[in-house]
Amino acid sequence: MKKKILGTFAILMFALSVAGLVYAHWSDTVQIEATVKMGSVTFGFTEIKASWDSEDYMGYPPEKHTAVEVCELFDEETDVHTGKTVYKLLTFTITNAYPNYWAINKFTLDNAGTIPIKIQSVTIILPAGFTAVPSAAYPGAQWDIYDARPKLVYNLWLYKEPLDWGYTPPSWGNCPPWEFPGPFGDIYGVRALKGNQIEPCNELLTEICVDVKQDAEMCHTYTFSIEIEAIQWNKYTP
Amino acid sequence: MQNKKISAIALLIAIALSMFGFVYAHWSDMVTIDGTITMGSLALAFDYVEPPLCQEYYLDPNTGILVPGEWEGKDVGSIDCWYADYIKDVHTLKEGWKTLIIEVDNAYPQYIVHTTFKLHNIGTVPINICEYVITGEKRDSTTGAVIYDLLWYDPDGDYIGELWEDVDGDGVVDPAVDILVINLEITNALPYQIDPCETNKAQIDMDFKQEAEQCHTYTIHVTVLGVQWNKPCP
Repeated sequence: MKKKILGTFAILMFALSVAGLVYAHWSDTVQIEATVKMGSVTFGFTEIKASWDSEDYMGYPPEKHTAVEVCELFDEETDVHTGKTVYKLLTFTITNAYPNYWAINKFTLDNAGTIPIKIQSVTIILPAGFTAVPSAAYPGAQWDIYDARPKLVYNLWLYKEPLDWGYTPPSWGNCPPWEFPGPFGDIYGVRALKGNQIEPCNELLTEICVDVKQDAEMCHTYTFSIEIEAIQWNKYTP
Repeated sequence: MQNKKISAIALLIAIALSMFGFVYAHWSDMVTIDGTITMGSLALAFDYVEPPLCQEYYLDPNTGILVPGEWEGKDVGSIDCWYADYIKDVHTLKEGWKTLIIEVDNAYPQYIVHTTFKLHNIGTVPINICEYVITGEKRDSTTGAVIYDLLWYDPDGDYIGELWEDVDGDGVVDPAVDILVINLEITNALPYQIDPCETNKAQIDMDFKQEAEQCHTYTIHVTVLGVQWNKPCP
């Protein structure tokens, strides 16, 4: 009996020593704590600065007010990071237009986020049967719009305002193209939106012009959409 | 008769005395074993002398090379890093820090940040650096509430991996549901050993993916596990 007890005790001691060999060790840790606060890219319209048309060109009293252009902003969006609000949709509506009538709207594209952005693309979207032909002379700034016949019905211009004339009138100038030749070249010429950079809290003064052509049909309605895509400045593809 | 009795008693006394004398009267000597065990200390820390260094980079698309700073010289994102939680090993009296804090602000996709840090064995026992335990959360930047846990995905165990938002909350990366937000890499290859008083410089790199959500906060916790060198890593 005593031998059995002694034997059991010896086995227990051996088992404990083996277990001690396996589990008894020291360890220590240090900690890395990383916090990443993401910025924001929020891009949109903020303000319609001015609009004018061929009927009140150069500020002269118009002979007649026949056509009407109306520009409005919709789809409000607030950047939760900066608290700044922009609009995602600008509508430009012209009624009672006629050949040789043009209308310009001046507005701002704003960077309401915290990351610099660049205009990556401008896409013209037309109803079925219509075609937008990019201008070779003003790439990215002017498109000839043809209907299904096909006939040129209007020219569409979208461009960075060539010079910061200020936000108040004079809102003058006709629809492009116009040239300011001089010793330094056409420094005030038409500039496409693509590639323009907008810093946070800054804006890009932009104009859109619709120039109605001879073959536009009476009592018809022409619609278009323009999608302007902005991308964080370091991901821009020229 | 009387004399015999007296003689017997005297004999018994003599015998008894001789017996006691045999028990108590002897020479003795002894030796003593005094055991003193001075334990070492196992203490892993960030180096007290050399602060961490954090640097932002961008990938130059023309050369494919990482360039310090930000694209076109802008100052958009920012990174700061420092040590916290001071520690002093009572054994060696060496000093260090237990926590490395990295703060990245106004981050954006393809913003790249590297942080170099130095591990120091301020104890007396060699340490094997065994494991980085990486966890994290995506938080609402206003309330701080956790939106998703972050899952560490590193199938080959080389600590060049990814952090995914655990959208379905099942604790397993599922590319069909979960969202990849951060690439993360930690050097050096594990395990490696740091002897007492020795240091080893390492680095944690992060770059942020397209799907990292704007105006949100990502917190990442990395525990560096060190085990005494003569024991296997867990």
